[in-house]
This record gives sequence, structure tokens and C-alpha cells, in this order.
Amino acid sequence: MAQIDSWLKSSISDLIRENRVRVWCATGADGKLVGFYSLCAHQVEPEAAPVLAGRRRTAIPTVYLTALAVDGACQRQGIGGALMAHAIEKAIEVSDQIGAAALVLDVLRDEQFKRRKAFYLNLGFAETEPGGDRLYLTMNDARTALLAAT
Amino acid sequence: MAFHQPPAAFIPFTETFRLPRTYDIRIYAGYHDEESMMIQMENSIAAVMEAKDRRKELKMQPSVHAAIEIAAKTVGMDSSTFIVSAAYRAARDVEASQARTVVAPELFDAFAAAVDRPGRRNEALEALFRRRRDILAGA
Repeated sequence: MAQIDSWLKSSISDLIRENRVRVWCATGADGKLVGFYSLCAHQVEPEAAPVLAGRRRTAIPTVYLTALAVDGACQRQGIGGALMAHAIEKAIEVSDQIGAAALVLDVLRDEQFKRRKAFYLNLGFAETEPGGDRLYLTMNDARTALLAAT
Repeated sequence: MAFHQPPAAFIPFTETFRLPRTYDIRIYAGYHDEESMMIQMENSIAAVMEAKDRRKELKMQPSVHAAIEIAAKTVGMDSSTFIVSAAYRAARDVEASQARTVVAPELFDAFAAAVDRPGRRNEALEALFRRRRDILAGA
């Protein structure tokens, strides 16, 4: 995907150096990159509104999945799903270390949007807004699944 | 419609900034009465008090160029300010979107309740974790 290629080649070094994101790469037996994902700190917060006066609503820390991509030549081998599982495990580690209540991601709006969104919803992700493309998986659900899988 | 000077209704909402080494720019940040006919666009770079000493050459399709020129005139900006303002706003939106999710109060309450709820089993996610170990070695 051209957009991801451009991001990976031109932006990612700067983002890592500036401590904006962390990236994990998967390589094949030949050492070539087959896929990657990146995470950064994030928070979910309520819109400012006068009705909030007197009510306790503070931002909730989360982890944000900035990007996840698989090399076009390596599609349909389960690598994307494996990277997603690894990303969720990494988010659990982050939560264990500094506290994060959910993993947040955006489903790419392209011709595969409905299929992708259904995939994430099936994994237990929920919408932050009805019909939107931003989803979250609670850390409690992620931990429960990881525990059951081991 | 062309204004040689802003109508009185604009004045309470008008600010003038002197930008270093460039020129004065007058921003019509809001409208005083509902009869104003001009579509407004906030100048997102108005408060950036730095010298404009960076250049960026842009290539675009003629139809895109024409659309920008028309839109800039519609909101009373020169096309350069229009492009930079729109791009800067988009950049800030992207940055903010990566750093935080802002939702309506009732959706925030639902989110807060969801993250506090005890974990629930999910067979698809459990299977994903198990398959991951077969695919990603040494991870």
C-alpha cells in the first residue's frame, strides 16, 4: 500500500527518534521485512461540556495502534493476525508497566473497511462511536483471552 | 461581494497581527450578525508568530488549483494563506487524533464502564493468540 510504504520509508525514523512511536517488525527466514506494527501512548477523554461541571470525568490512558501492515507478497499467510496478536500482547505489557485501560485503533476506510471492521469486532473490539472507524479492546478482555490461550 | 474595509459588524471580532518581516494580516475570525453572506474559514496559522522563511513548492492538477483559487477567494484569503492554513489545520488534527480520542460525554461514560468491566472470554481472540505463536517465532 503506497501510503504505508511512504510512511515507513520517510517518517518512521523521525517518529522513533522523537519518541512518538515504537515499531515492531516481523522478518522472514531471509531477513526481509514481511510486516510491522507501531504503538504510541493515547488517551480517551470526554468532550468539554458545561453539563460535566461537578462530575468527575478524567481522561483514561490507553495504547494506540498507529499502523499495522503486511508486505503485499506475504498476504493471506496469517501474518497480519499474528502481528495483531503480538500488538495486543505488547499493549498488555505496557498496561502492566504504566497502566492503560484499552488498545485503540482505526480501521482503514477503503474498500475492505467492512470486512476489516467485522474482523476486529469479532475479536472483541468495540466502537468508540456508533458507526465510526475508531475501535477499542479493553485490557481486561485482552488479558482474559491471553490467559485462556496459554 | 468585495469589501474594501470590514463593515462595522466585523470590527469587534477583528484582530490585527504584525508578522515579523512580512506584512500585516487582518483576520475576520467571526461574524457579528446572521446577515453576513461570506463563508468563513478560520486562519489556523494566524497565531503562529514566526517569520515565514520556509518555502514549499507544490504541484497539483489544474482542476485542483482552480478549486483552491475559487475557495480562497470565497473566504477572502489569498491562495497561499488558504493552502497553508488548511494544511496546518489538517496536520494538527492528525497529531491530535493520534494522541487522543475525544468523545461525547455519554460515549465516554460507556467507554469508562466497558474498561472497568471484568474481562470476558472471546474464542476468536484466544485462537489468534494461539496461532500467533506458530507464525511469529522468537517473539
